[in-house]
Amino acid sequence: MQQDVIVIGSGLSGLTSALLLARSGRKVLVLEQHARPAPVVNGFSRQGLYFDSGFHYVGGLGKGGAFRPLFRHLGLDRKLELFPFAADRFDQLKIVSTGETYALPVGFAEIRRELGALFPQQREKIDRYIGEIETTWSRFPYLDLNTDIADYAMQTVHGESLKERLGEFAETPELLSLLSMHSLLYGLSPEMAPFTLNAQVAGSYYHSAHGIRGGGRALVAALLELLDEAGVEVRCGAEVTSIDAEAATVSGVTLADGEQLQATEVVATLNPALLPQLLQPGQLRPAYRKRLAGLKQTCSAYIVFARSAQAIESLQKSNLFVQPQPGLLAANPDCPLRERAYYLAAAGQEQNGGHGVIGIIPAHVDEVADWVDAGPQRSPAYRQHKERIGAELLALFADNNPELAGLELLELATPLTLHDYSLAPQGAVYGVGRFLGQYNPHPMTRLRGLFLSGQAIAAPGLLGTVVSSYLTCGSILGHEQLRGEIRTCH
Amino acid sequence: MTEQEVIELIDSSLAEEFELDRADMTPDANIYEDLGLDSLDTVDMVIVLEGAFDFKIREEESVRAIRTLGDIHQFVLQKVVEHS
Ligand SMILES: Cc1cc2nc3c(=O)[nH]c(=O)nc-3n(C[C@H](O)[C@H](O)[C@H](O)COP(=O)(O)OP(=O)(O)OC[C@H]3O[C@@H](n4cnc5c(N)ncnc54)[C@H](O)[C@@H]3O)c2cc1C
Repeated sequence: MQQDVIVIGSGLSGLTSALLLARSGRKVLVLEQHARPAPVVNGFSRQGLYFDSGFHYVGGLGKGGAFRPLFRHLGLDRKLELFPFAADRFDQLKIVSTGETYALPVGFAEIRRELGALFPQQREKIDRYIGEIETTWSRFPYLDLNTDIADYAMQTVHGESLKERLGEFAETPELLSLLSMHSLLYGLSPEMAPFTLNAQVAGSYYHSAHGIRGGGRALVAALLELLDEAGVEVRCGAEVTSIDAEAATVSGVTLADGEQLQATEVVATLNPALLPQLLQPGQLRPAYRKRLAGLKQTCSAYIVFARSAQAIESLQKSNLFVQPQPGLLAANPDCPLRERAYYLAAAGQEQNGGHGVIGIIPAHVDEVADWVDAGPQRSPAYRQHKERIGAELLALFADNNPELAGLELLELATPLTLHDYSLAPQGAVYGVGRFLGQYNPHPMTRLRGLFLSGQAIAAPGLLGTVVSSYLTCGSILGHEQLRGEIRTCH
Repeated sequence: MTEQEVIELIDSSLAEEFELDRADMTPDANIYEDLGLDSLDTVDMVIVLEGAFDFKIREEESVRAIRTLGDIHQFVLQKVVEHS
């Protein structure tokens, strides 16, 4: 097969970009280093239970939601069945030191009402703050077809941090907790997180929160079906080791086994800090290569996959965020396990009858540093480390939440597991973060025919990666063409 | 730092990071037409200057107005004065 475009990486962004480019008439080949497509979101089964890995819920797809036209444009609305999260408590927050649990209802008006009732003295400020989120979240490029893309990117570099913005609106530590808890979903602390990023992520869920029937596995299957219909081949076990160019123009890629594949366009969706390793000296300026290599990564995580004898009622169509002390909530691994904020979700909301539980807690790759170079056949000491951490985390979950007493550990992912799945440096949960002050890369590069896409280009999550694909494919096909097509999907 | 040292640091940093030929780097050289930079390089230029002088550049308007190497010299010299 002779292809026009090679997409490196079969994550959400790679698959979405491949689809958009194939529909423009190009012949597209997707190359994935892992043995399975979309390893980050594909999920897995253990002892009869299905577990999601990198996808639990999505925001902005409810009635009037700004993400809907993109979903329709891609054809995902035809392939997937969504189910709404609990209207009165799509996300909950438990503060361990006070024993209080709070619930966020779906909808901006409902959130205002709930928070206003909980913190009556701050009602007027809460109204204004939630109002700001409501107008800001959907100004994300491609959700709003009129947003100036370059200006928007600059706000995430020079704009206000979430911490600064919240400082004007919220005094009570518990309120700060509730308004910053979604930082766990993009992996930056409120000091380092652009307000606009938090607005986009949290705001999409405030608008509406849905699960996908069949979870991440169904999402990947739907994308693969659409790609098949569009004539795209996805090759797994194909690690790209070099991006080739002639006369300052991309000519193709070389794989780890030496095979060379030609293409006139290459879309790289891998963690952009890895890109310089694939380039030859002279292909891109030293300044640019250094910038990419120096991009800051989000923290890593331990992920518990467990079975519960009883159905866990509190996690039905709801997630539980747990924070040791009230105040700004940060994804912070630089403290003992018991002092970290974490996140609990039901595994396979619909299939498993409430018996599967997933817990995600920030971690640092240094915690597993001894085994970084050991390869997949890691030592018995690594297994013991996993057993110890797993047992500690189950005890922590049970102490904080009586419903979770008696969980059985089926699997534990560590920063090394996350690295194996995406090759992300340090096992970064959300890859390169959109840190305030950091210039994340643009979809276009100075090497003709080489484009970048993925969560580092726009934002993490299904929404962020889909938008990144539109930004990239818009750079290739023309933003006006893609925007015009999306207008017909409203 | 003297003015001359500031200019030398700017020129040597840009020459290294953008693989420019020092002979082309005269103050009236247009950075786009003569030195071959393009709009995608602007961010890297900002980062290189921030790194060389240890300050933050937030003045997007002034950066966008830069046309010649001499404009960069003036922009940085002014920032250096502001920071001292
Ligand atoms: C634990 C967890 C929970 C999450 N929960 C949610 C959620 O509930 N909702 C939500 O919307 N989002 C969620 N996310 C975020 C979401 O999963 C990610 O933002 C998204 O999957 C990133 O997609 P991507 O395409 O940018 O990157 P990736 O999925 O990392 O894709 C890059 C691909 O490139 C491949 N690759 C790398 N190097 C090479 C090479 N040299 N050659 C070939 N292939 C290569 C990698 O193997 C990888 O498959 C979660 C993430 C995690 C980790």
